[in-house]
Amino acid sequence: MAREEKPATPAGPEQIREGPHYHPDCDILERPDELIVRADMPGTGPERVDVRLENGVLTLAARIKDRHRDGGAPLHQEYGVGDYFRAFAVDENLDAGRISAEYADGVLTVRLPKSEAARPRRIEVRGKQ
Amino acid sequence: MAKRIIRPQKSETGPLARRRSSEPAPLSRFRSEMERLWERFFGEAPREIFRPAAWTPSVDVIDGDREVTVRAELPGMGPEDVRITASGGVLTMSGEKQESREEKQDRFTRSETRWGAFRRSFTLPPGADPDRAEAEFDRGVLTVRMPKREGEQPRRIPVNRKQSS
Repeated sequence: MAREEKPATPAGPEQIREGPHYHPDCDILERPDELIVRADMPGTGPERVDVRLENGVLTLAARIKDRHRDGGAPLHQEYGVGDYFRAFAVDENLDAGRISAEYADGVLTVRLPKSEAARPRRIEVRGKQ
Repeated sequence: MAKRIIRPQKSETGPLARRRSSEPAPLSRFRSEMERLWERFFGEAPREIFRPAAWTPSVDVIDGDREVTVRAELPGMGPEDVRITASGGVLTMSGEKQESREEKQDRFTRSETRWGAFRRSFTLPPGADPDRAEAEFDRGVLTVRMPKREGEQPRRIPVNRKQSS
């Protein structure tokens, strides 16, 4: 299949996916010092998950193996097989160097610490001696 | 309106993107439209208002020659959260996805995942032996394998030609 070469634009990441992909359900939690993005990606694994932050866009992608190699006729089929993909535009007030990701029980958890400048800060008020 | 620190990229919903949901499409479209409106007014994702009380995990049932395989997508759950029973040729899976207590205090900018109780039942194909069933959790996918009884496996019946006298 021929693919059109598209330059990466600041508006979005390069489109390099082929075929259908699934949009995993995500939760985003905001805490005073960090953001947590959680994506339901059952059936993949840490070695097949790709988390990137480029040009202010956080992308979560995961490849999945074909689950239906067991042989036999599907009597009932509700979930398809395909890769996962999601993209979020993020504010620059995040500390890109300290982003961490973890995959457990089919759930990908990405922690995005806020940069020093973006954290809420309480300034102590001292009385004059 | 509060400035959003993180928001979905517009380009992510291409014509090939599919949402993993067992809900009928018009209903889920209506739901996401309502949620978008809510977010615009309140700057925060709605938690329970538009969610059904129970959720429906996706399940596949595969009828093989030697065994029947049932798979359910249950991300974030473990063996201690599910209960599987078989009786009268019906397999039932039930359980509950708990929301952790610390998160109840968190502010959700976006909330799409499902939690709460679920229950699903399936009629087993003839020959499946629930007494020898085995279940396993791997990366958020629950797999139940049930061997078929020896006598129920397809057997080829030889066809003889009648000897003409």
